[in-house]
Amino acid sequence: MARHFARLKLRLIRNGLRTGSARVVALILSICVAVPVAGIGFLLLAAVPRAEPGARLPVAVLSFTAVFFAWLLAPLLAFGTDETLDPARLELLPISRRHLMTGLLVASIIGVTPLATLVALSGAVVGFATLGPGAVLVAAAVIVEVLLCVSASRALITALSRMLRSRRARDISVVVSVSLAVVFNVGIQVGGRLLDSADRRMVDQASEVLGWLPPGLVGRSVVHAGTGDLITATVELALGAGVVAVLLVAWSRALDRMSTTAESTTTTTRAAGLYSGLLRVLPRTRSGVVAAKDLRYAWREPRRRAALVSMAPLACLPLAGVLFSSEEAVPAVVFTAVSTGGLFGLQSLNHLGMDGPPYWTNVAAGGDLRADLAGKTISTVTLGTLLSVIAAVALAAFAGGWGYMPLVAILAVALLLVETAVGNLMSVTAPQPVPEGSNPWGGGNTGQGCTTSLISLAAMGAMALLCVPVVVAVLVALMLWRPGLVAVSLLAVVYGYLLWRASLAMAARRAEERLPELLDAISPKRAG
Amino acid sequence: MNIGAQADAGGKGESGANEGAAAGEALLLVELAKSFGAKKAVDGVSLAVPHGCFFGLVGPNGAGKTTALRMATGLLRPDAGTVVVDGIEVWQDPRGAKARIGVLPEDLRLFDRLTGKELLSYTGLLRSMTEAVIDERSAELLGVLGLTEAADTLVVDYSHGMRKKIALAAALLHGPRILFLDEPFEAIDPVSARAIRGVLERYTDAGATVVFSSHVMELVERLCDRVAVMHLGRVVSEGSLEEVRGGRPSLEDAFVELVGATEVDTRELGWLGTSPG
Repeated sequence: MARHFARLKLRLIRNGLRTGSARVVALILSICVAVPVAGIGFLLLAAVPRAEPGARLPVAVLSFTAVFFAWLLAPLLAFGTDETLDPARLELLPISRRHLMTGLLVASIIGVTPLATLVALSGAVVGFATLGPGAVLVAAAVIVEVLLCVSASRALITALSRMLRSRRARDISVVVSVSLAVVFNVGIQVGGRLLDSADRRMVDQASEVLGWLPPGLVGRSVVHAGTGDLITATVELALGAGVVAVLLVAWSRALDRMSTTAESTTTTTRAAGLYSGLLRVLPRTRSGVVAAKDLRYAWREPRRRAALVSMAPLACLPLAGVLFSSEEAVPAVVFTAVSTGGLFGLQSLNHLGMDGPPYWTNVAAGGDLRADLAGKTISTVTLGTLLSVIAAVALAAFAGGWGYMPLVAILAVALLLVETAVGNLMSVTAPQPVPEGSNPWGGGNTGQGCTTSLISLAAMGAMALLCVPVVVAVLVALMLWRPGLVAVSLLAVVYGYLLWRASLAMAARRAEERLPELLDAISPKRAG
Repeated sequence: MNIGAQADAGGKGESGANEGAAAGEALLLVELAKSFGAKKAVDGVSLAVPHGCFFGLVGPNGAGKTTALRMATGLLRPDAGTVVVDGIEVWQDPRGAKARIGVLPEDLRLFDRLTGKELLSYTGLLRSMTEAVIDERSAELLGVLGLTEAADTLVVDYSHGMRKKIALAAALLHGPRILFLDEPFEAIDPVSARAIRGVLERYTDAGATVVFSSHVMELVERLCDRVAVMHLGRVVSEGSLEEVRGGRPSLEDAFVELVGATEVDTRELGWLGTSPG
């Protein structure tokens, strides 16, 4: 059975490669990442313990723990699961639990990542082992560690995939994983800084604590096996193997529950109406209803919500600048909050693509591109301005400058209008399909990635260029005559509005007659 | 290919509610063609659908039904040919034509993060209807289709049948003269199917026209006045039910014969159902 699964996995990889260049590129990319990572890991474990005997324990414990958590978290960040190993697909086949688990385990060990893990960890054999029974123990520890990684990640994924069957959980997972990715990035930055300043004692303490976690125990057993303390090493390794057994049992239970219990009862979301609450003020027209829908979607649609949520750390950047700066912040720093709205405004580059196939509703109802784009502008400008104001409030709380608040809002509107002016044209000339499914990073429009990103880059350049006069005018007014800021801000709005009107007319002229083609362009092509 | 055929006398247009309709057909397709790459999805289709008619478009998968309907509704530009809806050339005056038609597409890609009621307001306001009219008609449509309970639930949480029904409500909201339905009864439970059928029958009784595609021959036979059979992008037969049946016992027999499918030789597969367990 294990051989069967191994062949299945290899066949799936091979067939995947045959379906398109995207998979080949993905494989090559993952190899490009995996080879250096495996190499560095190998060298670290092989060379450091020899060079610096004092670092043996921290190196073993920390690297084994890091590998373990990478295995645990990576599938979460990458949205689940390798679908080829989805046990739900095998549910109806008469395979015993034991055979199923062996097969799935074997299949999960085949692949670029597991191979890289094995290569990296086997550096420990070179770095720690001495000839004799200790070497066997070190090699065994490497295998136990790999099994630990695989079984923990399998158990977690199986448990989660059951949970993720409900729509609401999937929605939340999109937002959570985007936030996790952001936190992860920030964590790496901050962690790096901390490591720079940390002294040896802190590292030793950390490895002391982490050494009691299962992967840390296995790491310690490597050290003890190397120094000849075979009994301790054996006990530690046995504990690690025990955890593997526990994880396998947990996984088996999770598999059992998955195949025998019903899906979680569907939770339904209720809502009060398009125009309820603050949106009451929007006009009951085509552009009004498009704006209302887009504003609702900003929160209800998981990918847009994720985009909104991931703005939060970016919005904090100006604030972080104030907090960590050694100089006293000037109140005028609140103007930097406009950039937060500006980042959000980049979404207007693919206004129609964000709607995707359901945009046929608008086309079938007698397409009126002008009104649709106007509605989308209302929503983008509203949300962007709101984000800018929030960022400005946070800044003002530390740096003062509350008096500038209205001007920040007005300038945000002006710059967002400039951005949507470019966005209008881009949305109709280079519309892009947004891939379906919950994965916000998953599968793009293959083969055009490079061209589209070049076009987007050019469009962003155009946005920046058109914003320059406003930024310069604001800076000049700040330096020379502050009351002039009011006039500058109002003029900026007029400037933005004129640009926006001109681009709207151009966009409508270009695309009003091509709505069916536009609809086709924003619909992701289905596989097959 | 029977262009200019008049309404079938036995049809449901008897209520005579055709007043105000422009002369001629509700829908006229002339030599409509569309290719995707080398594949000719629709290859010179001509059809005439009289006012007040319940018109069925049948054909095996890949026959070109969906492509033809998308072109007829202004959602896909034809390579050649003309589409006239209620006297208006669709590709000359798309907005005018779209004001007269309602569409229920097959794949049901809806703005499903809106509630059923919100989706109806959205569609209504896109069509410049007033809020009062939208509210009144929405309440009625939701009631008739059994969706009142689910009116404030997000469409993403609807079942497949409910999605079809809300999409039908959205297509009917502005009181179109012609309704295009792509596989309205596919994967639908009998209760929902009956609700949809009831609404459609009321609708044609009022003199409006329904054009729908389907695989369900029995339903087509029960509902339709006229039928066209498509195969490989062409219309292979068109006319009243009797004409298409051509003396064969059922529409299904006629259909199978027309598209050239062969009977399955049931003598093979003798091992089926013999597993010892």
